[in-house]
Amino acid sequence: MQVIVQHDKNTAVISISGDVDLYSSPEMRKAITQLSKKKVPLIVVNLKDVDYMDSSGVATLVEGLQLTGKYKGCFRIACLKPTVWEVFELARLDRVFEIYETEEKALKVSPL
Amino acid sequence: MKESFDIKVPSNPRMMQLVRKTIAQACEMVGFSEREVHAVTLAVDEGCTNIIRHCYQGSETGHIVIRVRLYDDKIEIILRDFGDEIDVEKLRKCVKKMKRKLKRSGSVRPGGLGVMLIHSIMDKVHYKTSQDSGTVLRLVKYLSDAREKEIASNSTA
Repeated sequence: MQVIVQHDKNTAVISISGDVDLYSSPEMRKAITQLSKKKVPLIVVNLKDVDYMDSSGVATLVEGLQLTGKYKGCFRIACLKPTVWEVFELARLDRVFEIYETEEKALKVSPL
Repeated sequence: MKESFDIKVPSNPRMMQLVRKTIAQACEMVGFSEREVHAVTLAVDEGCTNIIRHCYQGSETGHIVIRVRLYDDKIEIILRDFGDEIDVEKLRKCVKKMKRKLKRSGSVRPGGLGVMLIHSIMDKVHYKTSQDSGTVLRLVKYLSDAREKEIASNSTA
């Protein structure tokens, strides 16, 4: 799995590629934790290149949502593939997260 | 039963990719749809992940034996570990609690998702655990038509 982080003062995009599972999710967690420690107002996780995600990946994203929520930040997910979307549906988390079709939309929409 | 095979893997998260590929191919041989193949693979991955985390406490020196049985109408996967005994009753309560929590949007917590996913995906989930011989997790998934027949036969029994 590869994690690329691009950020400025107000926004951060974490682009993930590869499978997100028990082995690889700590790397994604590290990126999310570092950005939330800096209290970046908007964090977008781009999952365009993720074909597989298990519960440890989903749990990491839930943690990201909770960490950013503590400082009233915004945590968004973009570009879910159908296989990953299904995991969110099975875990009934599709209504919990702010999910966007594209990274651009996730960055443009004003915080709710 | 048409075919059966066993694989034994170390309790190392790195091995899960290999397990997923094997299970996906086995599901394809039975005739599951692409969506079902993904779901069953996920359930088995979650079972193995729970074994690594809870039965072996993250240690990579343990082993997981995975027995796969292929039938005309279903796949049966048996995961066996030789680690710590699990509290089956506590697990059942955890699943019930998780399902209740997930009904309330926004009240989600990271823990327990794996077990909840296994129960959502598989048609049959059965645990057998003991202090001496570890835990056996039996998972069954029917092909769609066979599942309807199974439900019908259970309701008339």
